[in-house]
Amino acid sequence: MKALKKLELRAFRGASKPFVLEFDSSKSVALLFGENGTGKTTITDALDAVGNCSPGSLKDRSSTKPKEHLPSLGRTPADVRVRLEDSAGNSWTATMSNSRLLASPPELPLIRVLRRSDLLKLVDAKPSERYEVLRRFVDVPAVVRSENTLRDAATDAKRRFDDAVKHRSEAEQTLHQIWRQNGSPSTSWQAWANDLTSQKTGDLDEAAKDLRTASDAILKALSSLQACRVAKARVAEEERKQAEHRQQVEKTQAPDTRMAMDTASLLRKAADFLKQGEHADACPVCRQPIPIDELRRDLDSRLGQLGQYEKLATAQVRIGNDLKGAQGTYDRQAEAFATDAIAAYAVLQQPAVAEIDGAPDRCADFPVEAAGWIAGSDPALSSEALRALAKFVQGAESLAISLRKREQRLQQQLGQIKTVRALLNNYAKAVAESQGLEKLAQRLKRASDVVRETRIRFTDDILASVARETNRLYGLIHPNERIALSKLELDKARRASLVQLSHFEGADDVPPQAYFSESHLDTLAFCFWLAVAKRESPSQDAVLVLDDVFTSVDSQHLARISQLIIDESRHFAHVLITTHQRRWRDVFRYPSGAGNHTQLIELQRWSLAKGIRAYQTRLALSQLVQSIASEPFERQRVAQEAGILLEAMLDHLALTYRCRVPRTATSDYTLSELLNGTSSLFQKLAMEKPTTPSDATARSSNRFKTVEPKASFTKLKATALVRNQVGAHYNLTGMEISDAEVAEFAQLAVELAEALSCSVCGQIPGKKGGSYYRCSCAEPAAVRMLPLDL
Amino acid sequence: MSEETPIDPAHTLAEEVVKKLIDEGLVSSGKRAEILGKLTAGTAKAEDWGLWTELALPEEDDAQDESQE
Ligand SMILES: [Zn+2]
Ligand SMILES: [Zn+2]
Repeated sequence: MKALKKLELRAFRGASKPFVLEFDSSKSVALLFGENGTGKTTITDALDAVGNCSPGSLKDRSSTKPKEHLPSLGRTPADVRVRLEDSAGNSWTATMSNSRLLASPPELPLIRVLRRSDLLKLVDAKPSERYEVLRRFVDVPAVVRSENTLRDAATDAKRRFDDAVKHRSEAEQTLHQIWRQNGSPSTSWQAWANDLTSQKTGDLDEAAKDLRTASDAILKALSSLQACRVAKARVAEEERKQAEHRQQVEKTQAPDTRMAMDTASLLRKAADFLKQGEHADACPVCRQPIPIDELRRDLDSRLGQLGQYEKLATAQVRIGNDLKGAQGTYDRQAEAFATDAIAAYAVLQQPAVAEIDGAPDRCADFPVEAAGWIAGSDPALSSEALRALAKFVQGAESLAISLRKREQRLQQQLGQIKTVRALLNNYAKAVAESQGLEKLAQRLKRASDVVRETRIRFTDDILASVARETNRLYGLIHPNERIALSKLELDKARRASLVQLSHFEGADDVPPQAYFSESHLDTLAFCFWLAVAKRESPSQDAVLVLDDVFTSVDSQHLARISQLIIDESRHFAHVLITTHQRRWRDVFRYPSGAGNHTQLIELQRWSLAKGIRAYQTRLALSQLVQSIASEPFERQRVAQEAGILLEAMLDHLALTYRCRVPRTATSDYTLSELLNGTSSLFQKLAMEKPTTPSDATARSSNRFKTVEPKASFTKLKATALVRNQVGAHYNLTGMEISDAEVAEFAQLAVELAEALSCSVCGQIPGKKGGSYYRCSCAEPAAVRMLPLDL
Repeated sequence: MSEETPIDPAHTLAEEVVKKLIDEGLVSSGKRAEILGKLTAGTAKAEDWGLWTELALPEEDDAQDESQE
């Protein structure tokens, strides 16, 4: 946000009547002075409400409830309204809904409030609470999450690398073992394995197949031979049955058995014929009428007589058929056997088979007659040839066993090549994988370290810079004191803790709470808070509210704190100080402070009927200028205002230059004492001022003028009695002094004030430079006061 | 002390981290925006890191070494 412009309160806390506080946006600091019970805290709370949706000072008080105590006495939450406007025309409003504060728009203005109670908490904060103040600057949970996944990735890559190395050595071991089992041939297992797997396995495959075909062919021929033998045995059996039948026929008594058998066959056929369907009444051959029933009866009777001959006839036919069948089967089996035997012979000629011991001898047994014979060709093979084939096949039986063994050896060899090839492949893969993974794992590990180190350094840098800034600010309030913050660091064991250590005299790294005085602890905590707030306001968009923060600070430190706030105010959109200490107001009201940069606001006594009331306080100098010019001329008031202004300025100079003034218990000197004490100073005092105020190039181009306040001082010394005689006491001499003389005295006071102070910031130079004092304006446009020492 | 407003330091840190990682050649510079985004959001997974790192691996002569074996 930009500088504060206007704060409007309605029914909020002490604002029982609508209250508007106008800010001077051109001044970086607003000082709100009010005695206790005038409504300072209401104003702070209003800013806290609109900036942070916070119930402010009610937050930590258990006896209060926002719902009941945020609205003014007799008003309800619905009446409450706080509106803030900045110099750029942005505005924000806070209202209440039941016990909750609501702000709109949702994007809140950046308002940081420091109360006395917060300061005390910060002084005594546990490391973890102190960390909370800084958390939003150093907490990077998102990056930590990503850092963790990176570490996981690195661990995983390392694990996969280890796996690959394990696979590599496993494959290596197995190959080494196989190599040893094979008699460790060649120069190394690798050379051997490469050699082995470079063989063309196609030939081996082919040879194994030929061996298998050959052994199969021999076995098949053997089994055909067996079938052939069975068929031949059956033929012999059928022939025996036929011979038996023949003997039986011969034994049977009949005129002619054969004839009877034929007749019986004929009659059976006739009887069967007559049983079928309808028949003509006459014989189809001789046309004689047929007595059909009679004929049937006759046939049956004759067939009964011829029964045994008929049985013999049937058996003969059957036996004949069986023999013919057995003969046919044998012929086919013989032919099949011959074919198988010839095929086996042909396979034995294959080169892989011919190499086998005994194969050529077996082939020599093969009958010449069978060479080139094919099944079904004429003439059929002779019995001699078949017998020779049978001998050949039987002889080849042992050969089939050799062939099988040889084939198995070949298959083993092939299997080993395949195994070694697969292992070698695994090995090469594992080698390649382990190389890639090694690089990846190393890089991920390095990346993980980089992220971790960068994150830690990032946090440490922030803490170090906050500590540095805290110390710098602290040193401005307490110059030349051997006491400072030495270290802010994260507790290594408990991450979210911020340990604060300090120097005290010779001791290092001691807890400040143990050695620092109360006001030192207050200012240390304040400087820490301010250093953090500065980090939050990199583009000067934060408003600081310091709510009656310092109570136990003496005038000298208060002046330094005021100077510090004026100097640091350029880092913020606005700084609002509230105080119940009149002396803090007067730091700015008189030219010892940079009053021109400060808006002075005073609160009047609060009452329910009138609510909060504020008015602007003039700086002492402009107040005097106005009083001199106003009519009617109030001589007493003018004399008094001029006298107080003079006293304030001379007291400040006397303190700065350690001028000799009579010591008193309360350090309140009369004007004449101060004039006497500083007169030797004014012999030497010189002011260097830019010819044109705020001229940034004044010094380099020598557009400076030197002003010596000596003349004004001398004239003032001569008229100083006016101050007491007119401005303070009732006396007769005072009455003889004319208005013109009073006005002249006041005018001289104005002259001296204008000569001593900077027209831009309003301050008598009070900051030590090289050989001079300078005002609050930025160099090189600052006003200088010389010398540095008397 | 007042409530926080979100000033995310993660972004500043992420910028710094990514710059260092790229300068050391540990992650692919082509992925700068993606890495930055995921780092700030806290959504970078282990696989993401693997990929970013692999993409940054310089082309080496591994392939040739293998074919010579
Ligand atoms: Zn001090
Ligand atoms: Zn100035």
